[in-house]
Amino acid sequence: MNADTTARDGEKTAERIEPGPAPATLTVEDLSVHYGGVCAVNSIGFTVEPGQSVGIIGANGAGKTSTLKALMGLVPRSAGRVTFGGVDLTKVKAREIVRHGIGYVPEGRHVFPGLTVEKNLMLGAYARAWRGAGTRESLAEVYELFPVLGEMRGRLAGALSGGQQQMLAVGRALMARPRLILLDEPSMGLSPKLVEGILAVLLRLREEGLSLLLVEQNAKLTFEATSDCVVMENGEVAMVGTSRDLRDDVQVRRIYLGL
Amino acid sequence: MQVFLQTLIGGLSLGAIYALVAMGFSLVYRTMGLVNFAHADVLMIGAYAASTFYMSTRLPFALAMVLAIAVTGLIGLFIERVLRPLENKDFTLMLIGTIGFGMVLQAVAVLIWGATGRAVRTPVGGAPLEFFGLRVRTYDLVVLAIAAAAVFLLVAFLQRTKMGAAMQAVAMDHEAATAVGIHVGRSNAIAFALGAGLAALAGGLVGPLLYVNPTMGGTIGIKGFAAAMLGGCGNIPGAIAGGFAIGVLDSFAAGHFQGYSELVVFLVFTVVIMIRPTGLFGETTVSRA
Amino acid sequence: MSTLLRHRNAPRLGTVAGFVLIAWLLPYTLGGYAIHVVDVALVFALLAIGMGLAMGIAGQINLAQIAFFGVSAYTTAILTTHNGLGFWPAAAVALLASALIGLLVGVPALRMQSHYLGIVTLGLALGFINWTTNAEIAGGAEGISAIPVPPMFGVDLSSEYLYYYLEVVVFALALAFALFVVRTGLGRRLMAMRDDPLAAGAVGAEIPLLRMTAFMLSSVFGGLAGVLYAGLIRYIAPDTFNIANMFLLLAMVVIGGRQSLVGCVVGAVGLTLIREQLVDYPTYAQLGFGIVVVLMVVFAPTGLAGVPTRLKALLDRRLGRTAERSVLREFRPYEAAGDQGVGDQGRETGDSRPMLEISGVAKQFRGLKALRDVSLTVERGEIRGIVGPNGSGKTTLFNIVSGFYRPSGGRVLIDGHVVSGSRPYRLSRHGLARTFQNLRLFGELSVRDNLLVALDRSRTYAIWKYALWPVGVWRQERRLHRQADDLLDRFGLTEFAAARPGSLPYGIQRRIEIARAMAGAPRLLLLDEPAAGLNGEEVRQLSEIVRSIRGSGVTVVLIEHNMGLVMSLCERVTVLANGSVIAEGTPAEVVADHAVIEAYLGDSAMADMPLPTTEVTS
Repeated sequence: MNADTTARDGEKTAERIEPGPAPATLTVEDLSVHYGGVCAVNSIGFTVEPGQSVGIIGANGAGKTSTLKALMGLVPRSAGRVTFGGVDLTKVKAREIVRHGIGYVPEGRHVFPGLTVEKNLMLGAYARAWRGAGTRESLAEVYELFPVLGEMRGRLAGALSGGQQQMLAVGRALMARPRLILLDEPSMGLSPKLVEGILAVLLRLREEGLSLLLVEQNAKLTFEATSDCVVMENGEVAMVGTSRDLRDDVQVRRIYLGL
Repeated sequence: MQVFLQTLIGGLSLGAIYALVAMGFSLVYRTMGLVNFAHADVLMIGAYAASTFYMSTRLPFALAMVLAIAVTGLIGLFIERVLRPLENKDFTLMLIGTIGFGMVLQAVAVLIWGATGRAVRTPVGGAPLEFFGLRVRTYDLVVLAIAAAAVFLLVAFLQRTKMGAAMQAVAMDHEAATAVGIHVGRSNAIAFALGAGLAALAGGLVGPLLYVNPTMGGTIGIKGFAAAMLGGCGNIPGAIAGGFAIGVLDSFAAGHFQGYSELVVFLVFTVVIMIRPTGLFGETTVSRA
Repeated sequence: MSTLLRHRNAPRLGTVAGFVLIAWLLPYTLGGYAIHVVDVALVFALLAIGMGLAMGIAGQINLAQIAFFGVSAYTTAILTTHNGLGFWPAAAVALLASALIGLLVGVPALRMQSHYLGIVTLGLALGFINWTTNAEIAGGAEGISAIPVPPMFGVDLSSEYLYYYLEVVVFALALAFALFVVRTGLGRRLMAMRDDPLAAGAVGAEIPLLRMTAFMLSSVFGGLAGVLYAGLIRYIAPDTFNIANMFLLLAMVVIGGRQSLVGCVVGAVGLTLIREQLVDYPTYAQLGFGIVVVLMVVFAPTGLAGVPTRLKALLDRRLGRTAERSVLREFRPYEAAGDQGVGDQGRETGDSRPMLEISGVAKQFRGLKALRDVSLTVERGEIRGIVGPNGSGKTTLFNIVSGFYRPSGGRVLIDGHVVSGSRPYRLSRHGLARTFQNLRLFGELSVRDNLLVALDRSRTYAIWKYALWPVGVWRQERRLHRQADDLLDRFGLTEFAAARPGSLPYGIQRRIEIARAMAGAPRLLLLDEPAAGLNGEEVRQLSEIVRSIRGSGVTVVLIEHNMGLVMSLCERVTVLANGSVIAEGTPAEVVADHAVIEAYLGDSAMADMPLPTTEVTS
């Protein structure tokens, strides 16, 4: 069952790959990441239940981005077990992760700058189909969620503003019809008003029953968009709790400011 | 004026060939950052294969060409597979590795076809056509038409197909491409095979214009690279413009400096590329130092 | 102290004597044809050394080496046959000509690198071949014959046996000179440029001049080979200088090991001998060489010369030996300012000019405004912290101050002089040093050599000494090595002096980078996230080091996310957010600042809550 047969058979295979509504839990146990000699993530663990939204917060360099990249298989995991809906993701290649229903919005957006908005979105559905009815349906959904993308569908992604690129990155991830979406710093470099917009989108995705795993520096956004949070410090889990409790915790602010 | 236009036309068919070489080169360079110095020798193999299928096996020219493209496409796949561990890592090593492959291909050509070259019969004969007192060889028109068709097909592939879009995505951001489920290695391999196919097309077309021999790749290849650089390495319109620029420059240099034309072409090229290192249609990815 | 200079690979007297003996006796064992092959092999060995200097040592792709060879051979031939010049005067002119051509071919290297440079140099080589096959004076395809036998005090050099001795002497001197270059200041700079041109510029290496120098060195060796070739064969034709031979030369260098001159020589001699063995099967030889080149590139990129090191590394890994056997020793603090006189004479003389003044600096990348109207002033002897959320423009600011970026607006003054827009190496000479967020050490150089590159403050034009006054180079080397010993000792790095940085733990690499920055005796030191990846104890040592550096009179500016470190070290802190300065003050003021907390937390309501009252520890 490889990518390109999917590509050729189009619709039929797409049905088979379609993750569907089956609920799936993400479980992370003892995950560690090392770069050269440096330990970026040290034996962390947490779970994301179906429909739950979890935030990972912490100061710069706490290991948040490395955690997400390790989940996606984009950096090698030095130890640990990651399962999603019972599937052991540590044995799955990076390019196959999306086919298990996990969407990824990378830090710094990473849209394909030289392709049009619509091409970017269609590539989001790469693992499912291309030009089929399913893709058209998903496109319509994304345009409905982000009307501005619909207006700019013919523009090159590189020509969009930062906020629009962020929407495009989220939209691209949604095109794969994921059950869980990983977002890495969606608020980075955006004005407070645009951050409000991102929050609205995240809340809407929550309503639709998508599981969220949000890595953020913006504490306000995280606390409002998630129900539970993991606080990381120096590559380790420092605290876990509900977003409401952590919001008022002085200790969190200490960690956050790196004091 | 008459002489000027005649020289200009003389440069067009070779220009189209250089453009094809430059396109193949750019395609590979853009998708995987690999500078394929064996590209020129793949072209030579393509020229030999096409001429063999056409003259020895007596297949129609078009069919011979298609077979030659298929053969070189496979060679391209093989080269990519061997050098894959170096992709996106060490430019210099990859460059040297492709030079090694070039040596191998030349030796293989000598073993198969011998060290002496061969002339290839023109598939379309007939007297040159005349337009307003300018003479145009029919075969030149064929070359231009086929090159135009190749450009059209390539652009259509990149713009309209899933694989084409995926290839472009890999070129722009291979991590993001992986995250949406694209098999980066396979995409690179296809880019390489396509590049090789374009080289074979160029080689097959240039056969009847020049003499086919094991070292023919050298000059045509380097001029094709030069065309790609002039066009700003990595974009198709640039490659086409660069190809015609080199072709026309070639033609004028041959007219004015006879034997020294090559020297003149490379000197002019060096000066231009010094002034605009990003090429005439620049992309800004040159010296990251 | 004389032992200091003994390079770890310096040949011993006995080895040298052995080689001399072998070279002396070799001809007695060889027949007429064999000695001819050896003579040709030596010519290729010289060519390969030149190629190795440009490609392996300096990292400049040079596919025109065969043309340098040809220019000199043709010049010798033309001057002797057409102009009736004697062989040796013609040879001298030929050497000059190839050096000149080398400089010209090197010009494109100023503007482009890697494969671009490869294509341009190859194109120029093709141009040269084109000239030789057409020019009447070069004899066209027939070439030039009847080049006179080089006269040598009555020794008949038409005998290939006697010519061998001439060649061997020239070769030995040339190799010794090349090794001298590689193991002293110039070679270190060239290798530093190869490993990391940005960092090399930041420690004062004049990159443009060094690139030209690399090509010139390469062409002089090519020229030497050309003269010897003309005198040996006494007939030249374009075929010798074609692209196939250029690639054969490349194969020699790659197979032998491009970063080792001895490897290049071994490759050249080896391939020449093999080629002679296979003289009846040239195609199979080419096929074989091509395959070996491909295999080498993929499996043994350092060539034959690198095989012993790789085997040793493999063995070490098998046996479970690691580089972490020694521990980082304590840092020995600098003497306080005044005692040593490094920088900051200002405090004594009452000079009140600020050390760093940034006014109205802006930077745009395409549409993105990375910095807008940033102004800040750092006084002499201050430790200034720059903090801010990710993507707020901190590193961009450092890159502007250290000359990597040109600001789109505004200006930067260091010690009262406008420096915005200067190249990094100029700024280094002006007293600026920096470290990098992602560590930019010279990976293939030893720790000691990393420091030596930065300690060497001589200008590139001082390389005339190599040709005319090598003793001067030697003396300077002794001085630099003494300084390096002191610096290694001060930073507790003596045990790691011979190691490659990449083999050491991260914390040690961070310290090496600070030591390298301090090697240039700066007045202003920029540290970009010096604590990233360090553990608690290492952070404590870091703060001690930074304090001592400041104590010695150096002004320090650091970007840091570890707020504990910033709080304990810095007198003043500047906060950047979204490319603008949003606050400046003492650490306590800044942490209590509403705008700062809002920038970090993204929440104004949370910013109003009381601050944690934790003790500042690190």
